[in-house]
Amino acid sequence: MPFSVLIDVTKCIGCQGCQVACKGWNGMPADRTAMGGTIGNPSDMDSSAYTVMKFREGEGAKGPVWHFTKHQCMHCKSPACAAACPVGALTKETDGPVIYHKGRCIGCRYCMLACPFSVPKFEWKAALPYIQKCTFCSERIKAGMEPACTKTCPSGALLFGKSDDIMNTAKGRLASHPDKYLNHIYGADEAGGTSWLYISDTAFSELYLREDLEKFAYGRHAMDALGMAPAVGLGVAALLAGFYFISGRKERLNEKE
Amino acid sequence: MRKAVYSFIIIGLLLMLYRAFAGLGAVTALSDYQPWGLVKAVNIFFAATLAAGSFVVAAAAEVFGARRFRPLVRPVLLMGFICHTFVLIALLYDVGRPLDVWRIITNPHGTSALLWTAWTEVAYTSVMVVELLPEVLHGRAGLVSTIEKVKVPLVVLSAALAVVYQSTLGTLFLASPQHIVPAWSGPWLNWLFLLSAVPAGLGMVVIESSISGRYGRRSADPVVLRQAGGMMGVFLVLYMLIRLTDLVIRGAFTGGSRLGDVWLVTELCVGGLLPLVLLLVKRVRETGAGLVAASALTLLGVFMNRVGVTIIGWVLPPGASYFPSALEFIASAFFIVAAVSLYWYASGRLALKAYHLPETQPLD
Repeated sequence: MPFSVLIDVTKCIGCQGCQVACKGWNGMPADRTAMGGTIGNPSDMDSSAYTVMKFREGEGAKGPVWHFTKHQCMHCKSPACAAACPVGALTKETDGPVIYHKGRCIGCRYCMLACPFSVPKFEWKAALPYIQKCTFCSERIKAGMEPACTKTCPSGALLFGKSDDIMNTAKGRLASHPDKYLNHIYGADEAGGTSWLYISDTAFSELYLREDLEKFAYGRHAMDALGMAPAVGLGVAALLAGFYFISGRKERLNEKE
Repeated sequence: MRKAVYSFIIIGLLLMLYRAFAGLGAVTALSDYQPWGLVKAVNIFFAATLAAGSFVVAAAAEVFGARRFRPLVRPVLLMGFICHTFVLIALLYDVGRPLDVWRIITNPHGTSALLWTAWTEVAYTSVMVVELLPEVLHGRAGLVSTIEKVKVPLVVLSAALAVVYQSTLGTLFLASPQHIVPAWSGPWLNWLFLLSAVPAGLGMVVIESSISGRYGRRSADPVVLRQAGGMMGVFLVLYMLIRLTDLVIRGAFTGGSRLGDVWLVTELCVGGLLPLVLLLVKRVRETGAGLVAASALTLLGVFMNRVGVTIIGWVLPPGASYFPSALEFIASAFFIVAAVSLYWYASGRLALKAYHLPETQPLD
């Protein structure tokens, strides 16, 4: 019974309570930040900020329109980071979270290359660095609670529940307010489907969510190529061995004559 | 000259020590937007292609019976082994937790392209060590003759491993199609990395032979140089055909930025088409200088390709940029200088001990 979260961008008021709750629950330090020209702070996720609110001012019919979007790990159904990790330090739990096992990590950062959402962050300042990313509060979920961020959210923009219920709720909102929402649930197909879903009244690219992603899991490309590799290796070995035996046989036949 | 090299090596070792305590952020300009940079591109991905010459030369000499290549096998094998050793050293420098890197052997995760890259690298290097043992074992005649007996299977095994290894290096980047501009991504990266490694390796063989010949280590057999150069040309044609076809099919002739466009055009023309054209000219093919020039251009092309995939073609969010820091350049140069120094020293020692100059070896 996997869990999901629905992020309704139309309900987010940009309070950043989710950021504070996340830092509090995970015991992350406060960071010194610089003015980035926007009210979102910090400007992106990093090794001590698993989630951030990003701000976008757009043009509406009646003037400027503000959008606030929470960004965090998407907890993909078939995570590219987990497929890419050479030591299995990232795994997908049955109840939804993609979690990181720091005890297994070697710091190769290949997960950072593989993630289509550019989620995993690295502790560049540490002598013995780890990867850092949202945990979906997997321990809280196992204890029957909801994640810190969804619990804190005052406006109902974050809704935690069973995946089927969340998907139905999302579809229901799109159906009952077709003029309000764009007719697309972001995360239903992207990168093979994610546990965290977004519905919005503005283009997802406006919310800094990539719309150029494929509809299947990204791990597949590399895995297909890897599947070919043993055959190629054996083929080369067979060709060389075959040539050697044939040419060797020719020489031996010539010698006999 | 020697003093400068030793001083630089000491500086490099101090840098290694500093990195161990200060972390990667202090010695690189890498960031969450650019997790892999100069050392990965140059000292791991490009250096790995230079080692590819050893399996081609060994296959030519031992499987295809090109006896003129036999004197070349040991030096090229040594060069390949040192290239791989420094790939591993650069990897330990670049990886975040080098003390835990053994987990790649004990806790493998089979869907990872990086795992298979590491395993084939280790396997290939181990086979190279076995192939090189006769060169260094002088008192153990029994072991040496056993290894000599299985020479051909070892060469076949190393060729198979090398082919898989070079292709897994390209497979790595198949996991990131949305992070790399079309010019350096696409579905054929594994084939392209493999096909470009062969001319790069052969180009390195030509350059190494010429340099060794020039400094009196071995006389460079001009016929061998010509044949190696010719093989390099053939594989370069094959590589360029596939690369250009791939770019045409995907309509991918853009490098993502002005720098990227210039880089791409330079890589394809100066590093791909120009050496091909040069090799068609008889004077180039028949002279050492001409072959070295064509080889250098080929290596430049492969170098630009690897840097293209890792750095130039890596998509950064607006406002972010990456240029390697001074310490990254120093680290990269250190690995190169140390590798070349070690090769020069080792090949000199081995030549003195057991290796006869080609003048005394009968050439059929």
